[in-house]
Amino acid sequence: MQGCRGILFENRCSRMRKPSVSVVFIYALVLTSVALLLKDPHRLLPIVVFNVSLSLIAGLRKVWWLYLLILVASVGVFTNAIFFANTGPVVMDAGFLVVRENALKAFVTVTLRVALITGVGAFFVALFEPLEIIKGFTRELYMPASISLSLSYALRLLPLLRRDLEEIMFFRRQRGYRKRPLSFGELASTLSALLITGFERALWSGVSLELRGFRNYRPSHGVSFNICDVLIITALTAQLIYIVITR
Amino acid sequence: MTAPKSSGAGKTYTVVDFLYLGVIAVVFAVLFTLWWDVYYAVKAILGPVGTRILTYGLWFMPIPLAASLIRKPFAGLLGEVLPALLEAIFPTPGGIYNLYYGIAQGLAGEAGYAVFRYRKYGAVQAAVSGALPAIPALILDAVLFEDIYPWNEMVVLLAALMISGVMYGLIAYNASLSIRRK
Amino acid sequence: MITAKIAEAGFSEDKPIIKNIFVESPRASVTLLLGESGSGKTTFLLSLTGVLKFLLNGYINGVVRIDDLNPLEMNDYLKLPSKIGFIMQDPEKQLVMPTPFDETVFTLQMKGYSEEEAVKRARELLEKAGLSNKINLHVENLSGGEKRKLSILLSIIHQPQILILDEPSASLDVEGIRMVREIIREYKEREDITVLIAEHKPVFYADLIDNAFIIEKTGSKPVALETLYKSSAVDVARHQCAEESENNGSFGDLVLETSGLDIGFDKPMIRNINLTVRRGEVLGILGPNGSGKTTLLKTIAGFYRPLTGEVRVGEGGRVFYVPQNPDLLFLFKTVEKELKETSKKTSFPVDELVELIPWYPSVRGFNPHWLSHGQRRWLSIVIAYAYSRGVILLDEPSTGLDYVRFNHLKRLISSLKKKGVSFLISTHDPRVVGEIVDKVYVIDSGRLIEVDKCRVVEEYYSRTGVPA
Repeated sequence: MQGCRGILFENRCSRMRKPSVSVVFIYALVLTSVALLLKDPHRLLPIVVFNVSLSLIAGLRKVWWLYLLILVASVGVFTNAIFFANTGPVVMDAGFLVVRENALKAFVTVTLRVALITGVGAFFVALFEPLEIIKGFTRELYMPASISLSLSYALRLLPLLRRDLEEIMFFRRQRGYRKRPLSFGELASTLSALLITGFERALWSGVSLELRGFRNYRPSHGVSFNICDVLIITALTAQLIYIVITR
Repeated sequence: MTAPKSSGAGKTYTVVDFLYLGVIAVVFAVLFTLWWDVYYAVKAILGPVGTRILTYGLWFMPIPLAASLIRKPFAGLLGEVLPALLEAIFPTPGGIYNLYYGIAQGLAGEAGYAVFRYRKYGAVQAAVSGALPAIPALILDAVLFEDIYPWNEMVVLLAALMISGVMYGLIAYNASLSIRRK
Repeated sequence: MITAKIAEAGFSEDKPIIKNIFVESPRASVTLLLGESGSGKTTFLLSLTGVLKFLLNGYINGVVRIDDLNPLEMNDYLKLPSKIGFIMQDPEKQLVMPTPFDETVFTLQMKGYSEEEAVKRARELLEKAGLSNKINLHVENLSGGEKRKLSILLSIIHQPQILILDEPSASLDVEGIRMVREIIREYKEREDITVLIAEHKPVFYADLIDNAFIIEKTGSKPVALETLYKSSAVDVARHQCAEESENNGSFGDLVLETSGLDIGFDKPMIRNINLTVRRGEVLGILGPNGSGKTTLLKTIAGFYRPLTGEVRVGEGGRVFYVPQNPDLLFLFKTVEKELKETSKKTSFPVDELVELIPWYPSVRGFNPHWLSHGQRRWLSIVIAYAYSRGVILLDEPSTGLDYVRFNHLKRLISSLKKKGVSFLISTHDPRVVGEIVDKVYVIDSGRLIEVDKCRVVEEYYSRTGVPA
């Protein structure tokens, strides 16, 4: 039954009711934009909590580590705030470290924002596999078939690319250079090698597609809403109303 | 048998162009993910301005690279948007916000080629289109991180980003010479 | 029915690749197109199908007809996919979608099926192909053989009336070649089908062919079938194999040894490998795609860790691995710089390296990625020599090389052998076994077994179904 996730085309998977890709995408997009506009922690906080929980419910194992990264990043945000925005009345005095109100405010605001953006993004990604998303965009949001091809092809290439990169690093070591190409020249040569190999494959893939009839390809379109979509739209509306009310 | 890199007539995209974009997208999506470590490592040593100069340009690099390789309108834009889309559909820290960067930076970089009426795809164009995305990048960073510094500091940061963009744009152009002539 | 009358064609107007071509493949026949690498066979196929003109921006001065369609005219060009099936040189490059299921549905949709229909048929097809338990796995989780089977099946999914094959045996192993021969044989039995094969190894298809042409720099010529049969490489191989076994010189001291080596990942692919390599010796490792040849070489080179056992390299010797795709090995912008840097790192004098490359003067300023296939291999082996001077591991070095280029490879390896280099070559090419290798090991059910060289060559041909 591993066939349900990771599919581009519907594959008899109706046992798991999921919302539509486009609905969740728009949900995430709207809230991401909202995150950028909000400044007050008290308005942000409930929304952040709601969405972070949503994302963890949708796929704990997939996304928990993102929040770990947020935690790490928040240290950087804190130091930034201390260095650049440490003004206003003192909030905490620990001798070597004096934290003032504005710094604290900035820290909290930025962290909450980042958490919200990560949260809705994580929710989106937890619900759908990359392939499902590509298919959803093509079918529901009318993303052009060619772009869909580029993205699917990218997914197809991913393991090959990882392998090529590993091989390049091994060959560098074999020839007595450092494994990671960190100078500009080394970066350029690694990039060239990867792209040349990739492009040669792509050229023949293209010939094959052309001769299989890619020019005649027309993806199907259509959206079908279900109860999950309604729930999501409701949740979005509720959050927006909340934001307006707490102005 | 080796075929030259140009495909299709003039300004229409062929299926091979889209596959090339797929290759660029996957290479940069992976490179972007790996580059964060480099960014933070360098930041610890060189501080905000030096780090930006040395490393930030990588995030603009797909634009001049795609444009120099494919040489059709919107190649640069797609070169930036597609890796960003990939980052948005995989679990990555930036999530969907990457799309904002991708589109904004892509448009800015694309302008670098549009200004020359899509007739030239040389080193100058690569440099310009590497520098321009610095503007939306700075704005988006500032908006998110409340990194709103006084005037002169912002200008310094912008300059750092632009210099980096130019550097990486030229590397991209250079790489495209190796790839294209084949 | 295929007719092609081409005065000139190429990728850019100033550089024609083929000229004076007149090839005709009557209905219900199998036609062979011979020619050296670089002679333009593939360019011809691309011109014939209109791809050169409409996709690759090339030019064609000539007239081409496939059945009643004119591929050089856009309306007809768009109708081609439903009529022709194109099997490429490396069928793996054909796969564009992440999973076999997606690839199949996508191909069906391109042929005009609705999504629902495509989904249904895809399941049936994949089940028939024996892939039903892998349809939603990423394509890279399929074995090499399964990938090729899938690509080939997808090329002919619509039962086309015209079948075109571009160097089908270039990258296929025994199973692959057998599959292609089966398909051609099936097609022969149906009426009305035209098959065109571009190949430089006619031996695999000689018995199935009705007529043949050869493409040379000056143009195309028909080839009499009798000459094809006469120069059957099977006999040649057998002869040469017997001859060379007599010249087997003695080899020097031990340079590489493996004892009790198990290689693989979570599960061992090959167990208990005990190899010995002496100075100047060439070992061949045979096995179907996916059996572990590359993993073995990479483990010996230090890329992977052995599961158990060990690899011992003789004193002062080193091991260098040359991949199947030499592009990933190059680090610098010009051939000259590659050699200079290699010389710097290995203290091997540049002049001696240059001596090993007779065509060096004309390409010294070129980017190594721009060299031809054979040249890139040559360069990678020279670099390997400078670094190792001991054991060079070659991964499938003869893929895609026609007989002329193959002989170049053979000469290079012989001259390096004389200088005391040993080789470990993984291959599925009987030419390599027959003419280059001293000792042969075969991978069989997870073990490495030494076998008689000449017997292997004979068996190879019989297993592909080629009549003696």
